[in-house]
Amino acid sequence: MNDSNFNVLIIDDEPNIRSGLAKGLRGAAHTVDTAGTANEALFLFAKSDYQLVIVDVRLNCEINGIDLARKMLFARPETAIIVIIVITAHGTVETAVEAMRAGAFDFVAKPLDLNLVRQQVRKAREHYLLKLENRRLRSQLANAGEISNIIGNCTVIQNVYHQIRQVAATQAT
Amino acid sequence: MNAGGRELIGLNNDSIGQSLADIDAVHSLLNSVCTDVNTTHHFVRDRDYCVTTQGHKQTLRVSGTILRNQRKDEIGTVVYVRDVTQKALLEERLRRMERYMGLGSLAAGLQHEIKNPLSALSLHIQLLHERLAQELPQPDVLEMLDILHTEVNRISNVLDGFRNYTSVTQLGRSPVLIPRLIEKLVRLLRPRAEAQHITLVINLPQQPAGSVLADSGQLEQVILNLALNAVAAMPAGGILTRTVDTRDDSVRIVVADTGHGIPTEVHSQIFDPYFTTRNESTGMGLALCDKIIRQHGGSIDFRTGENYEGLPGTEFTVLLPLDET
Repeated sequence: MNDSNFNVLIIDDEPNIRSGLAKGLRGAAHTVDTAGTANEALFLFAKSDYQLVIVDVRLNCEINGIDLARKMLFARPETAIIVIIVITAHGTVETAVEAMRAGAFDFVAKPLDLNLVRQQVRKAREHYLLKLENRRLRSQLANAGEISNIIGNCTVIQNVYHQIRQVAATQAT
Repeated sequence: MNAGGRELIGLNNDSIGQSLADIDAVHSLLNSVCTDVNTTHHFVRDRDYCVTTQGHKQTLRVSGTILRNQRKDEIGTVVYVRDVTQKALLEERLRRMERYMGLGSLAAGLQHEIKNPLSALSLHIQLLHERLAQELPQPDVLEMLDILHTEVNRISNVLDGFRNYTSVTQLGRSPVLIPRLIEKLVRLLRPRAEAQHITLVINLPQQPAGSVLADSGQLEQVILNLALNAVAAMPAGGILTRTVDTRDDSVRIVVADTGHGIPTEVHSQIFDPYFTTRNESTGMGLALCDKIIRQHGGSIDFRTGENYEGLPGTEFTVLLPLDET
């Protein structure tokens, strides 16, 4: 898997919204997949790797978009950044607050403004890359920290440091 | 007539022995109920009429019956009057609530059923616009698509207005300090007012006014709507005054402008949903204000035209009950 991959999953029960949004976001992601039901979405989510999920709050099934987002976040908290698309039928502010509490990254109201959604996708992507970079730096820092009590800067001791880092990453005894 | 009855009808002690036919014309229903009972020999139940005493509207309910002795002989007629103002008010409020409830679920259904196709329509108009702008840029075609897009958004705004007007979601109730609310809205309004050469004046009470139990977001919307209407009424500039003071058991908020006033022929319609005199407005502003204030147990009224303190312009007054706890 390439770390800078950015794959998007769009979930909405309206086929014409799904297809329109997918066409509109084509340039903004590596792949854009769509799902019309929660089950289809969970199936795709388990099978492939998505960095961004755009979900309508009102899906035509037992589970709503916010609960679906919660489920996905719970399954893969480290990679998923979820943008929730809010339909205003049940009060914009309340839904937006609920979505944010569920861990959504952002929300948008219907009718969708393509440029606004693209901007949000760009922001989500930057956020994802920052998270990734942060994790990389953290692990480097942790590795460096473990051997900070050895003093020495010569080539031989540099090699020892290198070997320690390599060994530290494995579970072998 | 007993003392309570005399007080209700506004008669003094001299009126003892007076015939029902002789009392004030606004109470003529009393006499007609009495006549009905005497001619039909049946009781008459619950007929309402309204009177205005010292500016207060009262609803009175009249019933009449034949008075009989132990041998069932008719010995007279009894007419009784009750003050049902509070009850009538509650009944009216209940009726209105029921109407909103029905409309509320209708609005939520419409929202879903219309917003989704609208959203699909809007997305594809945007895609078409982008594609044509790239491959076949013709200004008049792009302009047509822009119009389609604008009109779709307009329908969507109408739906939102309808939803807001009919929603009876539970109000958040917390103590709100009106002067603070007004100060906050000034910051919001200033850029627009300055661009239109409108002077903003605020009269806040010397003594801190009490708070009202209210949904601050909704109240903000009411005051903002009134202020925006005032701004729209003064295209050539003027003065927008907002005053807050405390009167007996309520807080009074006055929003006054020096604009063109409201024509007499539309006075009875201005609080109706979808009534507007401006092209860019959906006509929901004042309807929403009225609904929100009623939900808070308050009242909203206006004065307008040249009779208003010798100046043109309009003055809206909102009364909200003080939080007594």
